[in-house]
Amino acid sequence: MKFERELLKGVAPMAVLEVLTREPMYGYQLSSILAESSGEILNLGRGSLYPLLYNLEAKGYVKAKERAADSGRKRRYYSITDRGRKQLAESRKQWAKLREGIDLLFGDTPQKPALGRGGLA
Amino acid sequence: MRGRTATTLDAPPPIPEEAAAFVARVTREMASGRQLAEEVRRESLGHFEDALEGIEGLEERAAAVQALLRDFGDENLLAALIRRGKRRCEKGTPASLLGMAMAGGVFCLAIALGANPEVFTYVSVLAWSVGLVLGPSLAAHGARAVCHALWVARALFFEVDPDSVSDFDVTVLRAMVQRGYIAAAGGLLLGLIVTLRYGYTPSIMVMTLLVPLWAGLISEGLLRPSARRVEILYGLSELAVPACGTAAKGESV
Repeated sequence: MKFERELLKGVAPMAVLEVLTREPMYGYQLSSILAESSGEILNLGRGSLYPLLYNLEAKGYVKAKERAADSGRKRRYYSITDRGRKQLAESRKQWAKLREGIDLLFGDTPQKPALGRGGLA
Repeated sequence: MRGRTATTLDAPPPIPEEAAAFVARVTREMASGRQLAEEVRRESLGHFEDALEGIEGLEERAAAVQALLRDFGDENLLAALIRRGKRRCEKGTPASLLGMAMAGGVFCLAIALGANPEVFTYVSVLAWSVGLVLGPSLAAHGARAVCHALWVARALFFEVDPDSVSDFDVTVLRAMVQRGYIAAAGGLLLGLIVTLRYGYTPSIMVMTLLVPLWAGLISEGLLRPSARRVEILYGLSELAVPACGTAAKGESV
């Protein structure tokens, strides 16, 4: 399924930060794992991936360092920063709220949040 | 150690020319400094290397490269997005401050040398307006002096009789022109520093190259407008300012 560009643009930063919480990764590795982990749904185009990474770096959410990959070749590894983790936590909250609203709008049964409201599990 | 052996014995096949050319075009289009361009080049080529790993056949590699190029998209757009992202990575304040300093230097040079008679006509009108509002006061006199300093600058450069100007105007002119040259030189120098340190953009390059050229042409008299025209406008300004001042005085009484 081909997604609206603006829709994907909104979730891409959050998705990339989420993947980077696992371990530092270089660009190609990141895009492969992102696609794999999302069931091939979040297939970030290469033309979007690197500008996004540079933007996240500029905002201080990730930092980059060149080092040798397993193959022996030098690659630029991106890792999430504390600031990035905070931003990710905030984005996840917003996403959960947004999803709740959309599900209600569409008439779908909303997923019960992990942290229950009003004592509900 | 194992990785090192793998690298030595199984050297990766070269990046297809089309991919390398694409990356070269993107980094050229970025119009950034050499260091940034090299960083992006290495990273982009690395991506192609990783994506083509394990694909041996020529046809398969060619098809994979085409798919990747489509995925990367338009090279101009990609270059613009990367440039924007990378510029934000740099602590941009020094670059923007230096850019502003350069713009200020260029402006001072324009005033000092006299770019266009029409500009100074507008400045004169502004000075008259200020004189009208403020009346015969120090501020109005200062505004008039600034206006006349510009005319005097043109008079001196374009061979209008300097005896027709007052000593005060000449003093203001000398101070202004000197500061103008210093500011312009400083601005141009800073512009060159910005260009060398942070990479160039077309606008900075145009300003850095054209301003000295234009300044040289002006001072060599190759862009000199009619001296007679300057005389006429100067004479008119001499008549108009006192008249406006008198009119303002009359109205206030």
